[in-house]
Order: sequence, then structure tokens, then C-alpha cells
Amino acid sequence: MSIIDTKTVEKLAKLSRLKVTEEEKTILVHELTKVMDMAAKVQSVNTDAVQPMTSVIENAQTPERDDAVSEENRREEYLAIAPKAEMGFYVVPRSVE
Amino acid sequence: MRQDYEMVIGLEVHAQLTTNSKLFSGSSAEFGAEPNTQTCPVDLGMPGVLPVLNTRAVDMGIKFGLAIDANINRVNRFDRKNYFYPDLPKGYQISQMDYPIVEGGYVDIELEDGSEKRINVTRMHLEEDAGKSIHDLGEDRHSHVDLNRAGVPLMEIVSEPELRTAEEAGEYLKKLRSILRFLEVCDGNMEQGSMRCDANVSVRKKGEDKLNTRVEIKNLNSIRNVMRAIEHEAERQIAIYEYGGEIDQETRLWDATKNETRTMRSKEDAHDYRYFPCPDLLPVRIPEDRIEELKKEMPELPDQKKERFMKEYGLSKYDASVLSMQRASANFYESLVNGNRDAKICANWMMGDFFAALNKAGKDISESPISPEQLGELMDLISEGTISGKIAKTVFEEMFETSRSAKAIVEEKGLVQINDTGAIEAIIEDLMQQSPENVQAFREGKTKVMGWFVGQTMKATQGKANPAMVNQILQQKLQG
Repeated sequence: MSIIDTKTVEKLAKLSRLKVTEEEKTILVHELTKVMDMAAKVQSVNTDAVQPMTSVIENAQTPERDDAVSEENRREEYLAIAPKAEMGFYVVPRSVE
Repeated sequence: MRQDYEMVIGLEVHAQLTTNSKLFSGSSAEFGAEPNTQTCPVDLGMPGVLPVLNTRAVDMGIKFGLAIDANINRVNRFDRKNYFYPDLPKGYQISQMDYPIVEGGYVDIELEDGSEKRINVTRMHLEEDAGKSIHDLGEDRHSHVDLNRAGVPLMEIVSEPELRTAEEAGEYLKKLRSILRFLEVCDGNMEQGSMRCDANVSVRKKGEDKLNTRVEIKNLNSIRNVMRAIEHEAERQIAIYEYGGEIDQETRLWDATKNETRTMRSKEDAHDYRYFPCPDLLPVRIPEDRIEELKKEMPELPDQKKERFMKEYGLSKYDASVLSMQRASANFYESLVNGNRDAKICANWMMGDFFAALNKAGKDISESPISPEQLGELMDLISEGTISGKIAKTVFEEMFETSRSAKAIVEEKGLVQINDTGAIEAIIEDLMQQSPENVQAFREGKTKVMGWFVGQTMKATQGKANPAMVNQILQQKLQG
């Protein structure tokens, strides 16, 4: 039924930047298969005439705010909680080759 | 390029909106600040915060939709586009996938040969920008991240793959930029990155309908680079097809110094963005009266201005389109004509000496050392006959150099045109006496010597003699 195999789990782990052990992979294949099976049940319902639901709150709309600057510069506080910072920048492992 | 191939080009343009604050937070969206001084917990992806939509960004999106005659989706929605990169602190970008704010619409372009073409727009959606990574600062194994730009509002404008040449792509971008600037929603500065462009390019044999594998080109920071990159990419693809090869679907990076594109990522590493509706935001609903209100705020757009310039000032299509493309030049022109000056002469002066001087000085029209009123004074001196058109060019050069008024320069240098018949006659009679051989030649039918007489008369008056009068008097005197 389900299309979840070790390869799918590996791909998802890569996309999510998660390290997954061989043992965990087996568990995840099993668990995700159960999730997908449940989703498959939902998908078996005919929804041809049903409007896609964008939000659980019917007819609500997202609030909007005026275009005004309400935040002040708190750079030093934010940089202080980063693993590494210098010269006003966050420092991260090199992201290009 | 080989005549039996044609290009199929679609452009994705990212236009940074000129809002004060970010798309979903109250951080300043201003360009050029010290790194990381314009961020807040929402932009930084801190737990427990919620995005709140900037109403002006939505208004700008609606205005753009109206400007290109598109559908404004009365219900649109924000989605999460998920990927990991250091300049994206939340781990996702809030964008619009299935229900963008604007769909359809078109941009009309004009080509060098005078033909026109309509380029259809697929869609425009609102999204937040990412931060900036700098890779060549400090230690080798690290990148430095500035998050000031993270969360700044963008419009992504996607064209249909209807562009067929690099010229068409260039004109489309120019027109789009002009529309964005007229609407005052984006400053359209590609070098600074407030307008960015990715090009999707494929080639096919002329007459074919199918779309071949396309390549996406990134890192295009000027219209000229977009055009050059497209040309080079098309040549590369044609060469591969001609040798029996296949094109890989990939993203390539344009290298302006090496004049080539190179692989950035291939299909195998293509992102899997796992879009889903952003649970932090409800749908955006746009009532009819909001659109009606914004319609009232719509400025005159480039095409409308062009039409009006042709009708009101009797300008040619070409002149009208050059002068209306930029708001600053259109305003300059209208102030110059000022309701009563000769519209055609004003257009010629602006597009001739004035634009040439700006170009030479590397200045934008907004930085012009002379105002339309000052240039207008010069026009008046010509039309009143105070100075000749030729002298006017000298005066203009000095005006541009010093920002002084035309009248002051003319008076100081004694450049007032000589309109005194007696004075011109005296000079001509003198000349005729000095060189009877030339008078003789003229009377024998060598009318070419007329030029010599004109030249000598102008020389004797330092170019100040009224040329029309010189011609007339010479004709009279020489014919005896």
C-alpha cells in the first residue's frame, strides 16, 4: 500500500537535516507507513465538489498591520545568543564550496 | 545565432517593495543599514512569534495587478516553502504557491524595428526575501550572515515563455521596471539588487511547437547581463544539440567576467520545497471596495503617458516612448514644454544635447545640473532670435558645466545674435571686395562658393550673425 521505504526516509532526513541511525530508519519506515495509510484513507473520500479548505476558521481573514517601523535595533542581544558572531554578523559553517 | 533555431525565454523577476517595514514584522526594510541592525524575533524565527501582514505590501501588489490588467485574486493565501539555508532563519520562506495575489495580465513591449509585442504574465505573488550570506570575509571555513533583508517584501513576477530574443527580454525588463517605478512600488535598481531576474532559457528548431528542456540562469544583475547571458546560454545549447547531445535541466550561474554560464545545481539536487499552507496566517481576502479605492490612486502609466505625449504634443511614437519611459524624464519634458514652448524642439533638445551630456557625465536625469526652467530659458533665447541654434549648443555646454543661467552666459560672453542687416551687409560687402575672384566664380555658376562666403561671414562675427539673414543677404548681393 504505502510507498515509504528506507530510501524515502533517507531523503526526508536529508531534507530536514536530521541524522538518522539504521535502527531509527527501520522504526521510521514502520511509523511513517502507518501515517501514510491513514492519509490514504482520507484520500479515498470523493472531494470533487468540495472547495479546498484554506483555514479551519470559515471566512476569516488574516489581520493586516500598518506599514510602520515598530522595532528598534537590538542586534547585540540577538548576536549574543548565537553560537558564533563577529563584526556584527552571524558566523555559520561555510555554505558554498 | 543560427537562423534555424529560436529561443524560448521566460523571466522571473523579483521586485523588492519600497515599504517602510518588512512583510510580516515591524522591522525597518530600508536598504544599506549596518548588518543585522534591522531584525526582530519574527525575522529571526524565534519560537512563539506570529507574522502579521503589512497592508501596504498588499496594496502595492493590487496596484501592480491593476497596472498590467491582471486578475486580482479576491482570496489568496500564503504558503511555506521549506528549505535549509543559513540566511533563512525560520527554515522556510513565506510565499504564495497555489493562490497568488495576481494572475494573468500582460506587458506590451516595443522593439527596435518598430514592431510591438505583447508578453503575457503568468502570475505575481508576494513573498519575503531571505538574508544575505557573505563568503569571503574572515576565516576560510565560514560564512557571515546579515539578516537585515530577511523578511523584506518581494513581488515575484513570472512571465509566460513568450520571449524569443535577448532584445525582447531586455525590453520586457525595461518596461516592467518602468511600470514598477511609475507605481512607486520598487526602485528597480538591479545593481543594488532591489530588482532581480532569473531567466529560463531553452532553444528549439524554428517551426517546432514543443518546449525543450530549459535551463535556469541566476546571478543576473543588470539588463545587459540578462541579455548577454541569454545569448551565450542559447549558443551553448544549440552547440550541444548539434553534436547530438541532450540538455540537462539545471540551474546555471552567470559569470559576467568570464562571459559564460556554469552549473550551480543539477536536477538531482533540485530542491524539494514541500509547500504547505502557512498555519500562522489566514487567507487574504480583498473586498471590491479596496480595489476601487486603489484604482483612484493609480498614476498615469508609461503606455498612457506615451499615448498622451503623441496626442498632446504631436510627438512621434519613438520620441514619445523614449521620453515617457522614465518618470523623471517625462516630468522634465513636461516642465520644459510648460504649456507653450515648441514641443518638438523641446523633445529634440532633450533627446539630443541634454541626454548626451547626461550620458557623458554618467548622471541620471534626477542629478541633472540644470533644471527644466533653465533649459527652457535657453529654448526661449533661440525662439526669440537672441542666439542662433549653433551658439545655443555652446551656451548649453557651459550651462551644464556651471549650472548658470543661459541669459547670464549669453550676456557675459556677448553671444547675442547679430540681427542688424546693416552690420551683416557691411561685412559681406567687405568680403566681396577682398575676393572678387570668388564673386566672379559665383556669377559663373559655381554656386558652391556660397558656402565659403557663409563661413567667412560667420567667422567675422564669431558665429553670432543670424544665419538666415546671412543667407538672404548673400543671395541678394552675389547675384548682383
